[in-house]
Amino acid sequence: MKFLHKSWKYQLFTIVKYLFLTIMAVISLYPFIWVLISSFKDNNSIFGDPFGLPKELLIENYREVWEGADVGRNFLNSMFVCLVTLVILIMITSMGSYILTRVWKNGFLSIYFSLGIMIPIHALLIPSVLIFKRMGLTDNLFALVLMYTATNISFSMFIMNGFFEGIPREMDEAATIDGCSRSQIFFRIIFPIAKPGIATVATLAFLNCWNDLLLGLVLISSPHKKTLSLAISALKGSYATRYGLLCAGFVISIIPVVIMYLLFQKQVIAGMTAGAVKG
Amino acid sequence: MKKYRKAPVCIGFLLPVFLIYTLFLFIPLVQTGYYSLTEWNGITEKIFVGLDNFRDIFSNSDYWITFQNTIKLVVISLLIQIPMGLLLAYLLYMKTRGMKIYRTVFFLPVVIAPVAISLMFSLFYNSEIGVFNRLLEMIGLGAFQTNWLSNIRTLLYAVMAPQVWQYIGLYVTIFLGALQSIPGELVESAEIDGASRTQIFFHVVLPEIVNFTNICIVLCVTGSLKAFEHSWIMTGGGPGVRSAYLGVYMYKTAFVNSDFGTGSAITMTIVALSLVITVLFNKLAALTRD
Amino acid sequence: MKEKRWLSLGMAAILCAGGLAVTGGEEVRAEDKVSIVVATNWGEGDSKYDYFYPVFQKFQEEHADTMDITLQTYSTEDYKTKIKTQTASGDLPDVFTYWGGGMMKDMVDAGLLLNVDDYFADTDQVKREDFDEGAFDYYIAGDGNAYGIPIESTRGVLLANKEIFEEYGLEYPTTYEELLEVGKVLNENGIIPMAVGSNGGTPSEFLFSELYNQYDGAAEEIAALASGGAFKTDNAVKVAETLLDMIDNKLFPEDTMANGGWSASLQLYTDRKAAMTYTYPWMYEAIPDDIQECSDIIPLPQMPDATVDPATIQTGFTVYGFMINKAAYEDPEKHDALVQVCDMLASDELTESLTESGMIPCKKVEVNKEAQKLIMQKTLDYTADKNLVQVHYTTMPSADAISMMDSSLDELFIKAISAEEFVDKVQAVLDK
Repeated sequence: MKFLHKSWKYQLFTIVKYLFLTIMAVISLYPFIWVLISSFKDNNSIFGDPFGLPKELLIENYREVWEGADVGRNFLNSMFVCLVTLVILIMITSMGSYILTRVWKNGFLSIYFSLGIMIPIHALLIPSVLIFKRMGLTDNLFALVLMYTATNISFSMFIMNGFFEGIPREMDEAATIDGCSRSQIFFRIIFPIAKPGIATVATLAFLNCWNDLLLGLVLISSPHKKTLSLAISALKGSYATRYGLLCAGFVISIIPVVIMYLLFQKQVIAGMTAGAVKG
Repeated sequence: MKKYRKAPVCIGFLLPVFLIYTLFLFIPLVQTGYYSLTEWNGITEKIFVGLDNFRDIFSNSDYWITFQNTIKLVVISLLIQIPMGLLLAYLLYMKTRGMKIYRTVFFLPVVIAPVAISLMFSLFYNSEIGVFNRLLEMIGLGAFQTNWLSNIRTLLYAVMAPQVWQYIGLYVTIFLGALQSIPGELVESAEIDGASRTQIFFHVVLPEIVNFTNICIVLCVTGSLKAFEHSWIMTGGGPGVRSAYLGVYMYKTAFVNSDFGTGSAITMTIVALSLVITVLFNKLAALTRD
Repeated sequence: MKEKRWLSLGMAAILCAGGLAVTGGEEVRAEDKVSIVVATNWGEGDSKYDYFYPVFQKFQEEHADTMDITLQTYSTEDYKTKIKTQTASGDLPDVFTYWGGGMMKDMVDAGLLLNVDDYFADTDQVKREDFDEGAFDYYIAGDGNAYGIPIESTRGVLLANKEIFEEYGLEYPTTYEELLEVGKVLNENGIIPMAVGSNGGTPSEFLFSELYNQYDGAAEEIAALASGGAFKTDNAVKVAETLLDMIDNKLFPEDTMANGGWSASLQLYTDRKAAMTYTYPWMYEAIPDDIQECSDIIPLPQMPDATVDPATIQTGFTVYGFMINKAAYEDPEKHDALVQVCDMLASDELTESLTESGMIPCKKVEVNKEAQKLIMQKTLDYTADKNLVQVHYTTMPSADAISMMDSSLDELFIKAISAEEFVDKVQAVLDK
């Protein structure tokens, strides 16, 4: 009797659960679909009939974005900057975070590193331009890499710290007994286990870099060095923006992010199972 | 002896992150701090004015309106984003079919440019062509129809809504990662002991992910304190400053009105406010842990 | 495992390609070439870009062996931020489009801009007399010199949909009473009388100025703003009160924020949901042919107590032009090249090309009327005998006064503040 009762409740719960999840999924999916549909429209149909299907498919928008904005080059620039940033960011923050959580706990440094999470990016625009000018890195993609790395350090260390703290201390001790050096412990044991944390950081940092407009705007000037989001932003008009064109640009820029996300999600799971086997 | 053996590794591991962070983030912050003590239009020489800029903004009612708006955003984001993120993550964690699909779909809004989201919501709210009012009428709530962006009482919340909603997926992802890192045996043994689902959640799962909840709360608070794009695109922070946050107010002061001294002063107050909230939060978290 | 290898290979490939893209783009600069930076706010998505770029490209190719010209284009909002950071770091472009009045004041004060008479003295291609004389007003600073060469001019127009008026047996209103009457009939039939919203002050601030100019002494008051005159005048309060009365009589869309901005305001009109709209020619690109056909340009109705006949005036002002970096111009290496670039920017060829985008030129060139959109032809006919009047936007002495006017006007439109409060808020910024 009790068993039956539970199963009835369980079934109801399952139905409600899936209903809720599906409604949320539809709501979450909708903006992407809206951007996709709008990317085939002109302004009259976006404003006149914002939620309807396009009367005629304006594939024109995509062609124009691709040719007008030199998207191929901008895309490569963005990819280059984001990936280099990710590599540097993950290396240096995981190393720093490892020391601060497991080897040398230092309250001052922890607070120091968490300051950055609070700084609005607008506050950095003019000082950063001045600094890179002094360094001779005006209009240089590496300036962008350094700036993206710096602005993402705080929250990356924050997340990494959470993951490193969750790894049992015994692992270090066992490894020390086995005769591993500190750096060996880090690279062979801790770093692999922290993969889920790294994947989270990588996803979020990639997103931040990929979508950044302001730093790219002030640090880069040459057209052939522009990042994708800069090129897409140039599609806005002075008075009237052709939103169909803009949406086509967004679709082009969203796709790599989604691919990146899917890839890293796989890594999360791979990392987790690896951790479970070893642990 | 052992302590000193660690030193080279510590320095070697910490130096790169310390250098980049200090050079490109901390020094600019110090510079902004310096600008906040000057009168500067971004072109001519800076004139040192001491704390005048701070005195000006603290006596300006617009500053306090944006301050309140920002605090409201922080509170609303905390109350909606964190519980929603946790709830959705937990539902997905409970052996849900199609978990991967849901997870990806929930994350989608996060990657869409705020410009697109803001435009979509402006059209959504529009009382002439939008569907929001029509939707309300359809479900029998016609009495609540209003001009969302032109009604003094609703406009701030109308501007907040897209932002609060857009980033829920971020927290779903973080919480899901955290939930999946809980050893399966913990939950299983609790199930065997006959614990109910709610009991498992509160007594087994929640304590395990408390660290991540802290991460999410800090991300949520600092993200809200820096909020800019949605408000700027939908209403330009207006009418007046009624839908502006501190970040918008700062941008407008510095980059539209070319008053970089006052703009920097507003920035410093944002940083100070974040610091206060973070420290308070850490104290609170430490208290509850004990 | 296989997948992982594939993945890292892919990433490595992208990195290499990216690296190549970065280094490969670096062109070797010949010693004898002068490098010039030209910046405009005509981004790739702007209607002017397509008319500007071919002319620019031709010039660039013709001078490829002597000049190395970099063109920086951004959308307007980004562009302002970019120029401001470049000014702060001392990297101002050599020639760049920019706004005058309150927007250029700081630059002029800091001595960054060239007095354009210096350029006119050095060139035999362009003369100051080639431009409409009033067009320079926007760029004349406190010292009486002009610091920019105007490119685009514009005209405020009230469009009325002939078909809607006929359908309901209505005449175009010429007085405020008639306007209220027309508004009542239209509202009863579910038509918005006038599609004017207010988001960031557009298009409301221009309607405000257009109405303001109907009052006694208005033209002088607006002109005086530039040299320390007051915003707070009896006329300003009167116009703001009339606007509030128009809102109360439902002459505008209910949701003035969502229906504000250039595109959204116009949209209600082009969708035939509104009978009239107040707009500017830069929006003509967005008006479909059938709407152009049935649109008439009509004078604004005369406001209560107004003394100027609205059928005789029209707002018309310089929107922007280009400026010359003084330091670069005085650099002997760059000087000659800069003059040539400026000649191109002020050339009849470029001006004529830009008029095809629906731009009213500040330079006196023959506009091929036949090639214009129908609505533009109607505008040119309408504007021929009008007295051009100024708007607050161009005479406000500082950028923060303009932005305060915009954001407070938004507040006025949602009835969050009174007419007095609106005027006081703007005046307070001017008094600072």
